[in-house]
Amino acid sequence: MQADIKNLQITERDLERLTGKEISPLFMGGITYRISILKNPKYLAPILLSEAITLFLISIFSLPISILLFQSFGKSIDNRQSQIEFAIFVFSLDLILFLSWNFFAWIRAKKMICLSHLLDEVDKYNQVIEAVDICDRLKSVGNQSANLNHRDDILQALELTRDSLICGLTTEKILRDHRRFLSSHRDLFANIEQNLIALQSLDVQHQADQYSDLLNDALVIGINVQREMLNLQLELKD
Amino acid sequence: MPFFSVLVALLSDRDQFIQEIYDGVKINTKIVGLLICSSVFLAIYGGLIGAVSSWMQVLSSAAKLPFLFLITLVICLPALYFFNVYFGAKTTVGQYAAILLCAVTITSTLLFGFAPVTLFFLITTDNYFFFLLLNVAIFTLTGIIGIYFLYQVLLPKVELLPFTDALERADTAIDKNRKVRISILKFWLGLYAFVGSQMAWTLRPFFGSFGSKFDLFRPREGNFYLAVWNAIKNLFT
Repeated sequence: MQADIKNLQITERDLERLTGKEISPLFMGGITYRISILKNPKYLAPILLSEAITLFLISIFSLPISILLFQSFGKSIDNRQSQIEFAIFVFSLDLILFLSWNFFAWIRAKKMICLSHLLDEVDKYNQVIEAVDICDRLKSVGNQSANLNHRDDILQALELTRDSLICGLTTEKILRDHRRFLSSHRDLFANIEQNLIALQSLDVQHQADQYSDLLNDALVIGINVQREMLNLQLELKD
Repeated sequence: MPFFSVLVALLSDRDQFIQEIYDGVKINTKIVGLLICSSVFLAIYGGLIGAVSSWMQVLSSAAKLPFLFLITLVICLPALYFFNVYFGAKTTVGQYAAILLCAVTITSTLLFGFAPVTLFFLITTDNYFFFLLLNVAIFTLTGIIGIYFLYQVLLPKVELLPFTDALERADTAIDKNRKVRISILKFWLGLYAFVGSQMAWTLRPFFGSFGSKFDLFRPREGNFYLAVWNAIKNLFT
């Protein structure tokens, strides 16, 4: 990867520094789901696996606790009838704990929905970076069809998008940590708007497909970031 | 799977992994990954030793064995944290939890490694006391390795001082503090082993008995060490 493109990437380390949370494709902060991935069928299997593991861990803790509770109530588990009662008790306890865990996980995820959307935009942004890198590599082996004629303009657009994303993530973190923090975020919002205006002013009349597609992607990311920030602003006014 | 990548990271470069814990890098992810890996391995081994008796013992032991290790950790963690904080450690509760989970994960991975041996003797022997003592030996060996790992990781580091005279260095407050912390660490490791063995006795049976009735729980009588001694006597009579 060329150095100028590499510097534009937003890495996991950068995300952890900007958000103050451990970020992975599935989770924020280690245990909170990124709520926006629930709509993506690609993540269905990992989510189901996580839920199965959660249920398994809950069962590990609930079975010995159930044994101790049954013993302290003086109930034995010798005959078939009492064993069925015990099994129903354990199953019910597991279900209650599992549903409670998911309920609180849902509430936690809803509180960080803005961060989840911003992280999706970061993923899309990194994919655009990867697309540019692939074009560069194809060009370096002599594939002229992948030639980016206005690479500098693309890099400029990506830089503006990166600034907007970093502003958005920083703003979200500040607002998450300090709900009453107002004055600085207005300047950050102004910065995002300026970047978006600069993006829109770039000439998009050229014929090369890769160029216009990539610029379009960068624009869409910038628009989505601004939309999230406007939503945050409306939340603050309420 | 992301959870098992934490295990791979621990086993492939332990020093780097522990350093990341002390630097506070991805603590929550490490805790969750280690918790899941250790629980899965312990559940598998617990199910295996429960297979001596019946399918109900398999389920019971598969749940009890991870519970045993994790509840021992929860019981002993506050003592470790507060003792070290009192003597000036800057490590957080989350970091101590991650370190203790590393030890439990190493123990559980070694137990998982012994599973084929246990399965072999499960199939080829019907001597309950031999099988019991074999597993006591396996648990003791893997437990010692886990505790030795903890000792190496939690040992207070030597602080570099601008003294050239070793005798003068021995009298400094910092060195005395370090010696006290080492003594407390040794005491805590002994406490951890003792709580663990007593918890195992409280939660028994894990093996059940060959062909006998399934018990979820047995009456609180005797202790672990007496039971091991009786098993040794029965093996040679």
